[in-house]
Amino acid sequence: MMKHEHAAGACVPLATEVACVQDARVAYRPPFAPAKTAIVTASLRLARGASLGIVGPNGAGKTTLLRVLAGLIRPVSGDVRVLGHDPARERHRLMQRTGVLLSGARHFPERWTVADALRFTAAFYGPAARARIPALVETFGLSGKEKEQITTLSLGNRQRLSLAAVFVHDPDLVLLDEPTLALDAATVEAFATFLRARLRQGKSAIVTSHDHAALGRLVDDVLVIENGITRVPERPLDSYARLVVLTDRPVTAHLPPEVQVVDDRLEMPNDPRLMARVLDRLDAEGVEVVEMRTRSGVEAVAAGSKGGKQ
Amino acid sequence: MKQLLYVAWTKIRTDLAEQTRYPLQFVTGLLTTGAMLWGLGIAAARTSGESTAAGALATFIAMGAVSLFYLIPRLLAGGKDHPPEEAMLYPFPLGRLVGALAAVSAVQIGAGLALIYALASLVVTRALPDAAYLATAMGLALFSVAGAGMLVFALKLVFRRVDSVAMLVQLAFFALAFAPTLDRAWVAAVPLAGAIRWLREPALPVWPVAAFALLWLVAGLWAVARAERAVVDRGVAAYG
Repeated sequence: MMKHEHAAGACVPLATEVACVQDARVAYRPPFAPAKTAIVTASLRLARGASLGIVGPNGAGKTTLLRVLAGLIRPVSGDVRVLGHDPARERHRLMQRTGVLLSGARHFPERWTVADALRFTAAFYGPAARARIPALVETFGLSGKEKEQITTLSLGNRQRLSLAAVFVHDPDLVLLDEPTLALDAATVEAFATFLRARLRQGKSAIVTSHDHAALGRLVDDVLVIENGITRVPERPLDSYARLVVLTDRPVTAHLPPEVQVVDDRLEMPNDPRLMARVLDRLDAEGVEVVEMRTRSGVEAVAAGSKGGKQ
Repeated sequence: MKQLLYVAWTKIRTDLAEQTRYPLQFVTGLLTTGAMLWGLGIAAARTSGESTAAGALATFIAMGAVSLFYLIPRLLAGGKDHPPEEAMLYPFPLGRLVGALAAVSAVQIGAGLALIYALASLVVTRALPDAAYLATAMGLALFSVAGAGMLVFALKLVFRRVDSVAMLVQLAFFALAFAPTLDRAWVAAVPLAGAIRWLREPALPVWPVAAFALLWLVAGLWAVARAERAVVDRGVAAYG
């Protein structure tokens, strides 16, 4: 799991740690244009076999933070280590062991087929990667589409291809920016199963997504970034998980204090005994439950983050 | 290097396979390229005072050089006109990656145009050209522009929109085939010009042209490495 306490100063290489960002400040400095600070200060740590979600409003710095981890931007200050490498200096070595998806897509020539795109990507990593292609095609639901040209693929199938390309070299760490774009619920579920199996093998993942329900299926921990500043939730992620109950009428019954009531909507900690008490009380009052769903810790933490200004 | 050449070969093979999915377009392209370049070669022969075969060969190698120069900045572009951020996610430094891709592309372009020239020559003059002469001229032409192509790749990495400059250079390259004289020693240092001069005077030594081509290539590869660092320092890989 992610360590919540951050040591001051530089990242100290640890055998159990795959990524460390310490007090990184990042600015885009395009030629002939004013510089723009994208991250004021960011820190994170990720242990081997762990997964971390990064949530925050548009423009908060989520994708920039992934770019820093991938070595595409050198921070103005601060320290970054990923799989033992300084990403900005040793990006090509890092990429041997890292899979990256930025802005939700990998791009290939439109007239290439699915098989062409995967073979080309695998060519960078040797025969083992090529041998992995059939299993990835199966995992990402691309069976039977190998000979289809990319230009004919639906948005969802393009996304599946992008994801398959990211995993073709069995990376130790994946940095995924909006991996669930255009994916249906069943594919998200299958992808979550695939990712969790990898975590059990000691692989790690950092994921950003605006689909917080899907993100909750993919990660065990979360980091909030707002206005270019990262923040670790105060409590363990599970403690934020909530149960949401919608009723057929506004609830006036006296309920335990942990239950928040707004008209016909109840929200409470995801505790089975508490839920049983509430349902008993509602039943006694003749109130019927219309809908009941869980709200993951990721959703709750993300909903608590404020709007960004960038 | 072996791995990189395999990557390059995979890309070229994939592109070729994609072209052969449209056989009519492929064959028509070959025929029109041969006819158009030979026709332009007749004009080049008149303006340069060379034989028709030499004039035609000058336009063929100029076309090869222009094609490679155009292609190098787009080798990793995936449909876009400039190298995308994704090009930096492959597990190789960009200079080595583009170098390998450019080398295999140069072989593909050179072999294709040399074959079309040989067939056109056979149809028009009833004789095949000298293979060593053809291969040397084509090889020198492609080698001499590779460094310039790398320089444009480097510029596009950082500045993105340098197409108008690159277009002017392409036009200038093609115009060299029509130049009435290239009889100056410094011409050996100019990409493509040295190759066309050698083509017109094959008794001249090859090494000055090859040496300057190597210098251009070293400069181009250095520029790509420098641009890669600048892109990371400035965070401009994502800027479209």
